[in-house]
Amino acid sequence: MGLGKASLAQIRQRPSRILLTGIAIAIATFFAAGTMLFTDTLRDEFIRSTVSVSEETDAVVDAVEEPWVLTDEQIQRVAAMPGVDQVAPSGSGVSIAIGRNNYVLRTSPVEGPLAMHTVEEGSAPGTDEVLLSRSLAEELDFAIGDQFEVVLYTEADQKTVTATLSGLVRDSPQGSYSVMTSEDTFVDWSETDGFYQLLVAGSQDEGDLVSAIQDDLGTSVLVNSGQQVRDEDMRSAARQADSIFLVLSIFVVIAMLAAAIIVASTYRILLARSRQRTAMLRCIGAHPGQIVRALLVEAVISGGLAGVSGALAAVGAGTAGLAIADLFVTATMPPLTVSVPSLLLCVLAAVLLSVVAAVFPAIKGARIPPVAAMSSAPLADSESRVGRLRTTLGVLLLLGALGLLALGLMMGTNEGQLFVLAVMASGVLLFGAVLAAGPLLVRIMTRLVERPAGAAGGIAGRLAARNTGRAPRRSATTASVFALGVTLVSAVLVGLSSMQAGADEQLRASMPADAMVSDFSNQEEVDGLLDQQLVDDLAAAPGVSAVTPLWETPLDVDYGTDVVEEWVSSVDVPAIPNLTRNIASGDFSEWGQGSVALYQRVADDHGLSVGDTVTVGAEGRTVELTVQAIYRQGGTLGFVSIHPDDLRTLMPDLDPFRLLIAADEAIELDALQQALEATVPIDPNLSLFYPAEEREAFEEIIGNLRLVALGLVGITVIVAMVGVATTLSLSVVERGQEYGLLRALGLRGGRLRSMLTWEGALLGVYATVIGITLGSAYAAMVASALSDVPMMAIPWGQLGAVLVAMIAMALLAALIPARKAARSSPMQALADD
Amino acid sequence: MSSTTTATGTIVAATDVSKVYGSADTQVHALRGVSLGVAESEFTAVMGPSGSGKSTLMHCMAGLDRPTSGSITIGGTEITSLRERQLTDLRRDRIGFIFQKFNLLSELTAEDNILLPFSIAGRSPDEEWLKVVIDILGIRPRLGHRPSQLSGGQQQRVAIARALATRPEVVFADEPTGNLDSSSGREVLEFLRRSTGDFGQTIVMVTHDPSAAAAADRVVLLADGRIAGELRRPSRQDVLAALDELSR
Ligand SMILES: Nc1ncnc2c1ncn2[C@@H]1O[C@H](COP(=O)(O)OP(=O)(O)OP(=O)(O)O)[C@@H](O)[C@H]1O
Ligand SMILES: [Mg+2]
Repeated sequence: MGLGKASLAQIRQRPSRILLTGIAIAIATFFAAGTMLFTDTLRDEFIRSTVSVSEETDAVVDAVEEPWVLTDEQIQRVAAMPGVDQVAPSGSGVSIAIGRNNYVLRTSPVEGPLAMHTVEEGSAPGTDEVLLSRSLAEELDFAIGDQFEVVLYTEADQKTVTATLSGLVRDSPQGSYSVMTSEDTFVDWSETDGFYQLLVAGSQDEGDLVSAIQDDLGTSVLVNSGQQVRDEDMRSAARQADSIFLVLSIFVVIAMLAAAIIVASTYRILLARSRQRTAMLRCIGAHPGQIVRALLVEAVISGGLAGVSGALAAVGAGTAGLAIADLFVTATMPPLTVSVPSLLLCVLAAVLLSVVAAVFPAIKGARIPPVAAMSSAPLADSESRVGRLRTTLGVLLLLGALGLLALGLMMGTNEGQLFVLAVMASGVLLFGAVLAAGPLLVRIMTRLVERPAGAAGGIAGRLAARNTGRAPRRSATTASVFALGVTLVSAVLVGLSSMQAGADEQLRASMPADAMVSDFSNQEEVDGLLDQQLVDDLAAAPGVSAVTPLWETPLDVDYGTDVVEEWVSSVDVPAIPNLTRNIASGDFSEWGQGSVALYQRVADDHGLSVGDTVTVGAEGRTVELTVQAIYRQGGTLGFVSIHPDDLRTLMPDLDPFRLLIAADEAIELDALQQALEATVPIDPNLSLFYPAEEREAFEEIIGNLRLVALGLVGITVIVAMVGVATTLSLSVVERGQEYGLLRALGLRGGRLRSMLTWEGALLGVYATVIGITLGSAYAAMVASALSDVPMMAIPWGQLGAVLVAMIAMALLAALIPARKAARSSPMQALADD
Repeated sequence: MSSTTTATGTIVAATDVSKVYGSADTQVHALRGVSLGVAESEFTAVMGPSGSGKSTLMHCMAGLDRPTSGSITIGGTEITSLRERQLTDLRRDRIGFIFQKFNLLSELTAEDNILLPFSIAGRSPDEEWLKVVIDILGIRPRLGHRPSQLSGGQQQRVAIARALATRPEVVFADEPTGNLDSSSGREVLEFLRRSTGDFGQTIVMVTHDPSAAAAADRVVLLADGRIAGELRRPSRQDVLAALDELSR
């Protein structure tokens, strides 16, 4: 009991206390609960879409012996067993092509208890009819009743059949790229001897049914219960959802830590304000433990309320979000999975967070000597001294950070994982250093800016700089959390830009031309689909300026030290400028007969450098080649690349594997695509690639990733904003008398407002400059370490936007306290706290 | 650790108490060998010029601060050797405090403020006694009010009720009238007087105000960290004269 009543009364009287200490935690909990809801929903959706047999499926019979199929007789026997309602064979794994794209042909029941997919529109497939998922039909531009050609690959060769679209099924990750047909058509098209799997639904006990079938059919089959199969599917689906949750939880933890730091700082300020009160309680006989406990009661209430409201808000937002998405997205949205234990866990985390944040300030606050209650002078907040301990700690952490960084740089890119770990640990230490030495940094910063701020903002700017430096500890804590947010944002932006740049570079290496035609038919053979005729046709196609053939074949390569059968490429490298980027040593200026170029790792592995000799041979012929260049990216050239003249000497009749097509400058991608589609024969083995398309697709992925990542780190920024707002608000309350005095001395309310605005701006600038610098530097280092080619792209524009946006955020956070300050009246100067 | 048994009737005894603040060249001798006994049921006022050590003496006697040397007993208990925990319990159970700035918890009603020591101790109050104290102080109609709804005099009366409620062996008051106008101040002093007279409450009060001191049974004068004299039942004039004497 003790002081609990006083704590409760305090909360009842000043609910704003709970708001001050709770809002940051509420936001973090909202995020945590949102993450839980999201992954729970995702897990359920994954399970729904991953489970391969329907809920009513009782037994799954698999053939486990040569010839891996169930005989008709076996199927009939099962169907005739007592208590069996439906049996349906299930088949999959046959590769088919529609146009230039490949899909999987499957058959599975669409009616009865065994149905996994139900026909949403149209009818079940009959002979030579197929079902497609809604999105695939849209992509292929097929309507129900349309006929189209399907190329089927059987073991021996391929054949073409005409299929009719009979209906559409709901999209699901499983169904999206599969084409479903009836059992008979499946057998007919795929020329299989039977099915490897049989699904059974029955009305008797699952276990009995499973053993009855197993007993009846013997050991050539394995019978699993439907539940077993579903459980196994669910486990793998849950694992996927769990790994997503793991990634998200990193951001949740960061946001929660930020909230804890902010809330701890808030408690510290609140306790500093109630020192007199604490001293009095100590004086009349309260033990420090009782005072700590009273504050923890408050922290539990604050954390609990914050947790509950955060969790409820997350449920509300999730429901609303799905409802809105349902309106705009064609696919049906899954229902929100609300797991009460998960939400309770979030609330518990909020309470814990609040308690942890409160406990150290509470212990420190309770340590006040009781005699302080006697002094009639108002107690000064004694935080203005920057402890030597903090400075030492800051320096130590800084040294640690630099040490780890140096270690990482020394290890270099060879130790990719370790390097990233070292750099990240270094970043964490550096943040610790900023946190520890923050008060000192803020001091220095305010001293530096006092003059310029005074020049720009007059008395308001000057006072703002002084005020910020006057309580350096709380200013620094808030600013550090803000800086953490900005660091994350900058790191995301720089990281993704570098990733984009790296991907572009890789794309240039692997798809060096404007378009490419590749032949994926049997590559071991000399004769391919890319004959001279096609080369000539393509060269003559509108918009095409050049066609360069590329060969690829396994050859015996004698590196001098050992002989290896290696895939060797051959192309007229100088004709494709993208291939001569990123050369480690040598060049392609002398590229001609007798030349060879090597991938850097290959050259390193065999200790070869420019000028050394490599012998390449095939079918008894050999050529001796001189290393002209060593390249860093093997996307097109592979491990070893020789000149086409030498390849002709070795393998005179080899057809190219790929044609690299250069387009006229003027032509649009659409027009080029049209011209090439018309020229290249439709053959599932011939693939057309457009790097521009790939780049666009990748840009879109990066763009989405950027949005998601910014959303994830944005929560930390918002928590930091709350920190700035609460800290400034508390400062305004604390300095009420002083503001009154300033007002009495003739300072207008507007000036006080701009003073607070300036304080927000100073914190914002300080945090943003630190954040952008740290975030960019670390992200650039990690990015350059992770890619083959040193790649760091600093998105100056985006970082500029971050600078502006973050300072705007700080100003926004200062809005409420500034308004409060402006309302100070000269009377407050006389008020006696 | 000798526990000096004091003469019957002495509640608080300070023996040869010295207090030195700071170290080496910045030393301040706030108390220099002060010996003082506070008799049971007596209202003692401590007076003296600013910086004479009044507050320091009171803090030492009330277990809020530790003397550099010398001994202090309260009701026979030697307190200079007590641990912090024990000191806290002693203050809670055996000492009452009245502050210049009342020091009520703004979030609690007058009644809850009065009951605060019991909440802290986890005990229930003596209802009879509580009734008597509240009635004498005339704050019954105000019990449901919060400090912000009370005048300074009323707040101090609530604070006095809080100090008396636990029937402490001694009440220490630090400038209890310092923040009050003269009529409220007089009332407060009247209550303190009555509590010694009617209930035998021992009170030690530090004050600057000669009229306040004149309400006491005994006035102890301090100067430069030493006892400089003592008056019994003085009038306001006596106190003024004695102070005048001191500052000469
Ligand atoms: N915490 C402290 N540290 C250093 N010196 C102190 C401390 N407290 C008091 N002193 C010094 O001890 C001496 C006695 O102080 P004390 O507060 O007891 O005087 P006082 O008689 O209460 O004065 P006043 O009437 O002004 O309250 C003074 O010289 C004072 O400066
Ligand atoms: Mg004093």
